[in-house]
Amino acid sequence: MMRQVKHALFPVALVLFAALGPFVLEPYDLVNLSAFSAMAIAALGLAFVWGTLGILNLGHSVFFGLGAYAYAIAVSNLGDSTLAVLIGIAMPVAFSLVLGYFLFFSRLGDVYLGVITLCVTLIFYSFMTSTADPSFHIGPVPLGGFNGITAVPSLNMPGDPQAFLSTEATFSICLLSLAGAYILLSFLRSSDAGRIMTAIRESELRSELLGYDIRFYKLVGFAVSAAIAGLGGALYTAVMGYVSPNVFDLPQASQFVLWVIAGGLGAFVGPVVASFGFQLLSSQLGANQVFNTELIFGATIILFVMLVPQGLQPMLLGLSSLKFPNRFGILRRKEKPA
Amino acid sequence: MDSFVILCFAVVNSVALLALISLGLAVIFGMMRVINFAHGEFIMLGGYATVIANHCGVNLWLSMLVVAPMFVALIGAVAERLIVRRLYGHLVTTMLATWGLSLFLIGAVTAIFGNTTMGVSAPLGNIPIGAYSIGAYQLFLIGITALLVVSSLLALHWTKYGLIARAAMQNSEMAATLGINCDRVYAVTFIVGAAISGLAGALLAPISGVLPHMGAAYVARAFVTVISGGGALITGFLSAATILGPVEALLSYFATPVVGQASLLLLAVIILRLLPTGVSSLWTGGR
Amino acid sequence: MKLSRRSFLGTSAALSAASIAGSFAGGAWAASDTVAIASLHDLSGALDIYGVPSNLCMKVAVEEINAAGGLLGKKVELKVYDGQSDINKYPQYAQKAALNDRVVMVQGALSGAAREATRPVLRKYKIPFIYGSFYEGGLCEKNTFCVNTGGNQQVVPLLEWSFKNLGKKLYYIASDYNAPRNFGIWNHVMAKREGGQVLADDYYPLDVTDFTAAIAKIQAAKPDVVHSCLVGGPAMSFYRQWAAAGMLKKIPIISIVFAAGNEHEVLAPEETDGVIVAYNYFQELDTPKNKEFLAKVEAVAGKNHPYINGEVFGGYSGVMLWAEAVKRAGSFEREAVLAALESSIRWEGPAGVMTTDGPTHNTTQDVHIIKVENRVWSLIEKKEQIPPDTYGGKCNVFTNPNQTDFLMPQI
Repeated sequence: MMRQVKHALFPVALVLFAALGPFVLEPYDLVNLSAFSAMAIAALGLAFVWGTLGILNLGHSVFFGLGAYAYAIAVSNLGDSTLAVLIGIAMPVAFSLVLGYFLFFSRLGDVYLGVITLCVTLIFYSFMTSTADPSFHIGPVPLGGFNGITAVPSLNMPGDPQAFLSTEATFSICLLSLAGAYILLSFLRSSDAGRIMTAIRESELRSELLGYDIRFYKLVGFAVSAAIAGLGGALYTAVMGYVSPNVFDLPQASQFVLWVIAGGLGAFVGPVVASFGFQLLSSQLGANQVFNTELIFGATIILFVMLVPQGLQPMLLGLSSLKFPNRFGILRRKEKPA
Repeated sequence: MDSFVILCFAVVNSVALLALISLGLAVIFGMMRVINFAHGEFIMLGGYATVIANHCGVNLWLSMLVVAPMFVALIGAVAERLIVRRLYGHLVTTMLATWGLSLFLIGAVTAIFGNTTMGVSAPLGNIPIGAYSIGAYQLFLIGITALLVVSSLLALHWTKYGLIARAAMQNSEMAATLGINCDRVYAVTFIVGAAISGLAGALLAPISGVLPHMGAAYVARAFVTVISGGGALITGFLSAATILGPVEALLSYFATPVVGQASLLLLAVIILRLLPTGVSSLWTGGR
Repeated sequence: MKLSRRSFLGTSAALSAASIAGSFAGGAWAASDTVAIASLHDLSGALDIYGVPSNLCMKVAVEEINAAGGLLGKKVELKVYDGQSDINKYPQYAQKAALNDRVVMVQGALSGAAREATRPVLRKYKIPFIYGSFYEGGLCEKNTFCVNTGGNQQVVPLLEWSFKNLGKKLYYIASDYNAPRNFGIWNHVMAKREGGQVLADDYYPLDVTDFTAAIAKIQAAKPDVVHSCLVGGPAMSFYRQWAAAGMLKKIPIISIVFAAGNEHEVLAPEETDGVIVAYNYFQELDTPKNKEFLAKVEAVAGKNHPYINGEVFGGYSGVMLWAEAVKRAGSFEREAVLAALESSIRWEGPAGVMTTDGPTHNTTQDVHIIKVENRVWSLIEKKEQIPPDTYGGKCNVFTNPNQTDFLMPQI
């Protein structure tokens, strides 16, 4: 019982924030936090596939980017944003099934899998940057090369393309989506399938010998993470009003990894908090010139890793329950060479 | 005829460059399973060390071949002692820490030297080949890369240190039982890897723009090359470079550079799909 | 039909947002004795080589204005944002500037991608956007004013000169993104006009560092002149490898972007001597106005200030032209300032006379064809008062006030 209450705490807080935020925050903060939540949603997708299933996906940004581009193209063609968001979820899922089939059925694992997905996202980056020519277009929407697609319409009332949602409503939707993604993934993790996924993370061989088709579970988990990332990408584009190939590039890809590790691998709340924290930090550093932004940001990351090597959430939980022997969680395991 | 020679040169050159930028990373990753995200910045520091030393009056060859690797080895030693050592065995945490280190180094270099530094030009002049001409320095680069790779191979397989290093890499517990101080082996390996990256940066300095962000252009390619190479330390990444380099060079020449770049990545994906633990699993049996 | 469904949606999005913007626009500066403008540049990250000096130029302009008593009795305050070479930061900071800091003008967003991400935000919140970088041309938007050269103002004089003096066969090598592709079209326009020939259009991804194959291709094509539009740090390798192959003395290089990233300082003289470019401004310009300007730059940034090139000079001229418009309008209001800018503001600065052009929202200015020798630029030829291209009359904010898309040159 206590455990369920504890689990409900975070989404309840998000919902409360979604409801109260518009009354207390400035419009600028609302827009900013909407964008941050969209990124946090995508980070949750990685937290799930990596933390629960043990799939080190270094190219998670490919799903985020596909969702972002799919939304931009769909909403500009169709007008209605609700359908466009759904397309922004469906596209990455479809792609993840193809890619996942390719990866998991050849029993690729470990860092090798991560590098493949990283290559895939970099391929998308090179391709998208080379679409500057006006002949690359879908419907009336040019892909726009390095400059990307701009003036992408924001969210509107379902079914009425002219009724654009206010900043406040968009903010609430983004935070509610974040809460929704969190609840969905938490349920999935504690379901039977989720337990099998955790077992696969712990030992693929044992799970397989127990009769589970690990390839199938990996594929499903991969697709779920892609859906969540796609949702994040679609919302991000809707909030920012543009999308460019940078959604596929190396800094973007490493950012998701950073948030998940910093938040604590295997946790959900931690990565969300870490993603908000790091985005806030980098946005504050740029607006207040103290010293070279990269220097400070880099030093912060190093200090963070040194002081909190196991991630935010495990550390806080460890401190609160004072179960020292268990403090370091799964990161403590030595990884063996392939 | 001359165009064929030039094409061969371009292909060999691209293999050599890929090998040169990957060797340092291969040593560190292959031995320690540490993904060094600051690899590109070690290259950058090597370039800076060369340029600065040369401006201070040090002979160009001396600053490239001696000053730069020593300086980056020093930085590597500090980084190993303060950061990497505390995180051995945690692949992802080290990745994060070295990412922080990479940003920190870029910021520090920008803060100290600004974003514009006067570079050094390539020595040795050029060699005409029919209607074409190539930089003699690039030939030198190919030669020294070959030398570097061969000597690493020899050091690893024919010296006592190489034996110890391979032992620590293959089974650290067993090596420790036999009285080898694995932490020390790792520290030395990291420093050697850093020195090689610094040397790569120094050698690249005369043919690339030495800027605080120059590392970013190399790190992804080096990473892909090393991982597609697989477990065998030197032969693995070398074979990957030999496969990936020509494909990129030829497609850049005959199709477009975008196609060349994309096919390098695509080929890496295909290699890993067919040989899930890298090219070298062909002869190491997937270890 | 140019007014597509998409651009219609864009405008209606702006309308619905105006309700939020409305409550903030105006009034913020009315009571206070300072007025804020925003500098939105990359001050860290790979593009800081453009952003830092450009921001410095804005600072010089603001200090000059304040030293002369400010504008309409108010001190101008410069709000500085660091885009960190991350395009995602641009809409964020544009929003912050508009909603939190209540600025009356935003300048910066130099790279094409940053500009495209920033433009819609400022349009939405009705904050005038001054664009200080040289660019491909064809941006004719009500809310934006371009003070540096557009595509035709650099490419046309440079290629006219080069077809006449260097030869008819041109080889184009460029970074693969929007602006260089647009400049590539200008090459063909000019080749057709001048009877020249474009042998090839080679586009390279921005992170390519090995140009061996590229150089072999050029050697095989045997052009009279190479037009390089390679941008960014990695592309500097091209010039090094070009010189190392002994080509610098054999085939001349012309460019409209070289030196914008201080290539002439990073590279050694023996790798760059003889490169010819066209800019509205270069630091060595020998005019009294320019000496005054450089003295002010030194006062702000010291003797070792970064080189002021044609790209970053827009930081200065943009603020000064905007200030002239504010004086003429007698107001900081968007409509009044834009109307003043549209009424041919004439300002004589370090780069000669510059006159804002109403219909195109671009600026008529001098362009200098210059050559580098031992890291120092010298003048070859000055082309006076080149007007912005009208794109066959389509570039006109009076007749197309809702135009936001880019116009492309037609071959």
